[in-house]
Amino acid sequence: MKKTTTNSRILHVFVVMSILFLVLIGYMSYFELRGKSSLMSNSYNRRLKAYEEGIIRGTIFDRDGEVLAITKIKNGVTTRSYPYKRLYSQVIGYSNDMLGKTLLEAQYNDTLLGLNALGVVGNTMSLITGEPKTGNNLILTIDHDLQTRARELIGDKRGAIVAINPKTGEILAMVSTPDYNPNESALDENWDYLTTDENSPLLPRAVLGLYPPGSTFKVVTAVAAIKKGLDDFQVEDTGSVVIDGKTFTNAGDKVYGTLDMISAMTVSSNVYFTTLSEKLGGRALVSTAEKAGINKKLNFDIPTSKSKINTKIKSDTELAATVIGQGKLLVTPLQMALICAGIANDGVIMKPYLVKSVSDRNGEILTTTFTKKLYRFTDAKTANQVTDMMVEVVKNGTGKRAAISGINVAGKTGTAQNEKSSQGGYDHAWFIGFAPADDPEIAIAVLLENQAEDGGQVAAPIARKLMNLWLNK
Amino acid sequence: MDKFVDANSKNNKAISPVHLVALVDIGLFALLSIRTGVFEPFIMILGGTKIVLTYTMYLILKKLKMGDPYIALIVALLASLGLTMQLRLSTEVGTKQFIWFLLGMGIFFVTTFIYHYFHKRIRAIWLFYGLMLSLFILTLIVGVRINGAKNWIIIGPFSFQPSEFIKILFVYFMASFVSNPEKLEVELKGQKITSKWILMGLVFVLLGFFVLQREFGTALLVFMVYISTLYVFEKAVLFSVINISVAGAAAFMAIQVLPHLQTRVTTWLHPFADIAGKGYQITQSLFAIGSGSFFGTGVGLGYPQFIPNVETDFIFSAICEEMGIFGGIAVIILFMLLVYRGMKICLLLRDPYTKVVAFGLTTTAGFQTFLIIGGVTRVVPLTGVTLPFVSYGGSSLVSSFLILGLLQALSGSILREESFNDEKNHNKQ
Repeated sequence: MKKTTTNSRILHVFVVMSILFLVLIGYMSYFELRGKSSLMSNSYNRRLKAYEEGIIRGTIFDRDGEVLAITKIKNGVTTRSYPYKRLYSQVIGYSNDMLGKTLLEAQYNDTLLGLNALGVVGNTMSLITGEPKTGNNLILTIDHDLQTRARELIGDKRGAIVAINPKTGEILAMVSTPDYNPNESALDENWDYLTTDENSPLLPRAVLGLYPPGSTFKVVTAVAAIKKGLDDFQVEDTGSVVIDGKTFTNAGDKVYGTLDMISAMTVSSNVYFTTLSEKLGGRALVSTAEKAGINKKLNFDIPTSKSKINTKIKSDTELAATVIGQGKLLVTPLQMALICAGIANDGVIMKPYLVKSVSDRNGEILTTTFTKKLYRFTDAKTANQVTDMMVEVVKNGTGKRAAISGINVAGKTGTAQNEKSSQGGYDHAWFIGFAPADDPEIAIAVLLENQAEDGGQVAAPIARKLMNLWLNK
Repeated sequence: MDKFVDANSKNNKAISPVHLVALVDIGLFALLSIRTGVFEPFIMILGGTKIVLTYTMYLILKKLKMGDPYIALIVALLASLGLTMQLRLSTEVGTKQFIWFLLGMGIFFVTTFIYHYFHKRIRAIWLFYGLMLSLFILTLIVGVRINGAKNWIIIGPFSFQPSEFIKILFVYFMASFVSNPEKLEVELKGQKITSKWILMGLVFVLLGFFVLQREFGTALLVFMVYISTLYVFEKAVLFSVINISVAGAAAFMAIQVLPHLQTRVTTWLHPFADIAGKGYQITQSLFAIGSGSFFGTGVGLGYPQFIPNVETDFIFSAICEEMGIFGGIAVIILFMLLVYRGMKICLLLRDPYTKVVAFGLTTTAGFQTFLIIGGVTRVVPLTGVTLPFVSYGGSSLVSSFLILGLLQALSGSILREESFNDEKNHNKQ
């Protein structure tokens, strides 16, 4: 009797020890699959540097093969060179021995070094042949001409421009200013200034900057209203309306008389849309905004901020402010470009991407990014209705300066109050638009921070010039 | 009758595991000998020696029916991984390790052959305790501080770590207690004090000595073996709970007052808080394991040398980096098998004394493996014990092979003796 219990207790201990060993195996598997992802890029991981030694980092090209970033070897010392200096700093970022890596250089580090599965064959070959190891190349969706022009047009203003192919989600141009020269010597020299300047020149505003969208958001409001069957809603615009004790007025205190939705959009009437908001309700607006990706984390080739709308709009005043793009609502320029692209593409927002394909050292294409639907923003009929409104905006309304002769351009202007403008500074100027309206090839969002003139005056012409360039290419 | 070979093995056409060990050796040593691009015949000679030794060992154990033929093979495989990793890290250290390995094999055989002459004669609980105490005191007097812990004795060109042998003595101490608890009974002022309370006092004194020498890992290991033995052989649940509570309270107080113990806990909980200093080692270990991923970088293609003390405490991280966590999991499974075979021996033995010895040796090897692998993967705080048969170090390797030799002897001559006695008794009746 005694012996059997002793033996069964021995088995208990054996079971406990086996469990301890299995815990180790389980934890190690978890660590490889999930746990390690956040810590491997730590700068104390000397392996990262050790792996890089002796590997020639891959080249980054634009969509037509223009070299945007390349590693040069001089006297055995490799340096990362950016021939267009600041032009791509807010897309490609930098790869710097001391300062680390950002944006595409960081996100695609393994690909550029050939350290992931794609690089194994090539690097195993070079082990045998003795050639230096070479990483893989990135071919971007960006068009160098469009990018250059966009950067010229924004000049020394602070802001962002995002141009996207609405049918595929390819990013054609993406500019954020202020920007910086990512080449090693310039970066080292200016580092203190870059990290402390109040204008945050290291911030890629197009993807990380959060702004009130202003009247460009009326596009989303219109989609929500049409879905709720408010297509025929009319308002007698007397220049101002009081909602729950707060007065809303039109820009320049204009009075428009009887307005339907299309004419209200054309003149960007605040009175119309704030009055509409009482019929629309907060829940309908928020759910439409969320269908366009607001309040959702966007997986993109570089880090993005989450655009935000308050899901619990408390008062009618707050709702009225939100439908005209103020209130507790913040978006990235990329988000507005996606909304615009969704309207252009019959209500479907395609997944945006920057890396078109990856090639090896011989230029052989290894992988190509597939286009993918990201969100079903709205149905095609609604999208076309809103397109018609946006065409009117450019033909006869606030967006006239975006008009291109012979081509139907759709657009919406915005002038957004912000923290600075409430302290006596200027509003942000917005324009979103796409062309040609019936078969869109390019959708654009332009944001200019704190401009004396409104979106229709400063942002729309930039969009026009870029659309014109792209459509004539 | 051979209890360790399956009944159907006569007709079993499967390849004998010894060939598999040889195959692994050929692969590992061949790869190692060409890793720098230049063929190194020296490595192949070491590999050849290892293979010949493995076959010799296996055939001797098999032909002379010296018990479980598998435990030594499991160890042979672990030793292969250890030797190749050590040679890969540094030919010099690897060669030294090879010499220790040869010595370890010698000790294994000697122990296996002669152990049964001794095991009945020395069963003196106070002798074992006295030996442990003298080793402790000797270390405190002539000990040398290496890496902050005063736990080395240096005699001429040799240095050794007494704690590696104290943990084996402790197993014998526990076995003596279980078989003859009355020897610990003390009469104090006419009051009899039950032997288990004396035992508890003696064990806690030992633990105190370990802590004094900053051997927290070995202290924890010995305590785990102690509690397991109490659970299995004393069936004293309440007493075990009291022991655990007292030890827990003592550990808690020790953490408050001993800064180096505190450091171990904080670096375990927040390894990245002081990554340049105290958290450096463990984070480097995690980087190594992470960069190896599932299949490893390949032997010679990783950077395990970035981890301080990689050849001793962190050898498992090096294996994970270059052989992947599949390599690491293989090591864990080998230890699991070793523990399984050890427990099987323990189950077959009938004499309580030998049973406790088998149990104690097996749990010592098993818990030690868990503590160090758990430590380098940050599952438990790092306590700085070695990975048996794999970590670099003479004391560690010799004591590991001593444990193996003892288990081998228990599974062979001792077990045979027991069955023979049983039969004799049976015939008498």
